[in-house]
Amino acid sequence: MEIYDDYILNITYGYCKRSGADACADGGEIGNGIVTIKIESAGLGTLDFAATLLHEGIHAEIYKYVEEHRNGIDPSNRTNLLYYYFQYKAKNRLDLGTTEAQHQYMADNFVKPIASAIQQLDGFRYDLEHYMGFGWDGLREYGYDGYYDNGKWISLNKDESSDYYIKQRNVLLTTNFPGTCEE
Amino acid sequence: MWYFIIFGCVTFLAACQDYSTKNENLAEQEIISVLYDSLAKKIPPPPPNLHGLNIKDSLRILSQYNSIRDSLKFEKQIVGIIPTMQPLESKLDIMDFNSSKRELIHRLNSLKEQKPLNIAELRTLRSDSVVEFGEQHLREFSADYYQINKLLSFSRISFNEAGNEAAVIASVGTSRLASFTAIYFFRRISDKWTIVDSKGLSMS
Repeated sequence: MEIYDDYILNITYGYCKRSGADACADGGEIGNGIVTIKIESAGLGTLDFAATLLHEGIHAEIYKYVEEHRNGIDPSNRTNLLYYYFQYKAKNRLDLGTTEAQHQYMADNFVKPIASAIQQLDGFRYDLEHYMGFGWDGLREYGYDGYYDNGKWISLNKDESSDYYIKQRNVLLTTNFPGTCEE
Repeated sequence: MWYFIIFGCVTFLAACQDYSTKNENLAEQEIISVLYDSLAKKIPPPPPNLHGLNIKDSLRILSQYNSIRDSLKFEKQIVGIIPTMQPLESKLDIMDFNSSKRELIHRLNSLKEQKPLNIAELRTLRSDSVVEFGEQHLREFSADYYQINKLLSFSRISFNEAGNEAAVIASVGTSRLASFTAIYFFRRISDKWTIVDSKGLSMS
């Protein structure tokens, strides 16, 4: 098995073609080993921007992983990802199926890791629940419709989700980030 | 005599212009309606992957999945639409498209003015609640939208010389971190505007 590491990730400011998006991940050139993340809005420019970068960075990583699978990488660690790709007829390019498959997979696997990373960037000021909103940002509709949480098929509770919004707001209003980065 | 001929020509040309504008408005309304029905529909989550599970676990998971999926069928969506068709923020590269589409791309690139989009004129087969998108739907501290399930937006629409082909960029998103944008190509077939091709432009 050979892992191809010669991929290029570009991060730049740019337009996301009127999508209303804060940022977008362009995997249209993944066949040439290139993924470009465009930032259209940095939001408040603190932890929310970090969460946006993580979200788009995960898209980029998934693009890379699936492209490597085409080159013979063992997909057994991410069975559901390739299953979702199959179900949504995703092409691993700029297509609606790829968008759906990647977000569904992110709702299954990346909400807590994003929340945890933001908690760390914020210097562990609150418990993980306060950061779950950052993880669910962009993925909530997938959560409401149903996702796997540690192998269990459940849906995100809307009251719980509303609470995450409130906690996220509190975190953003009081954070010192990016000041905490330099400590 | 000359006065009457010139007056007649001007009147004829003005009438043609009115007819052309009216036809274009009707075509735009139909194209947006077709796109709306295509993009606003709810995409259900994929059925669970039961590979490697025993029958008991498989049935339990399938039952949970079916219950969630069935509840989605009756869920009424609130769809926000940006009430203007905008010119492109940055021009599309004509060379990214095959020669049969370049006239439409060139015309799309050259459209400069925004145009109002009257959502009351949408002719949709769906039973969503459609609202004009505004600042009130943005959350200050989250990328998600407030009180809408989806946001749809459309660019200006370009038509070919014959008026039987069109191109438009449309976006659908459930959040500012979950959206998909593509250019859609239409052709008038049997008196109906039909999507004949599309190309993804961005995803977030």
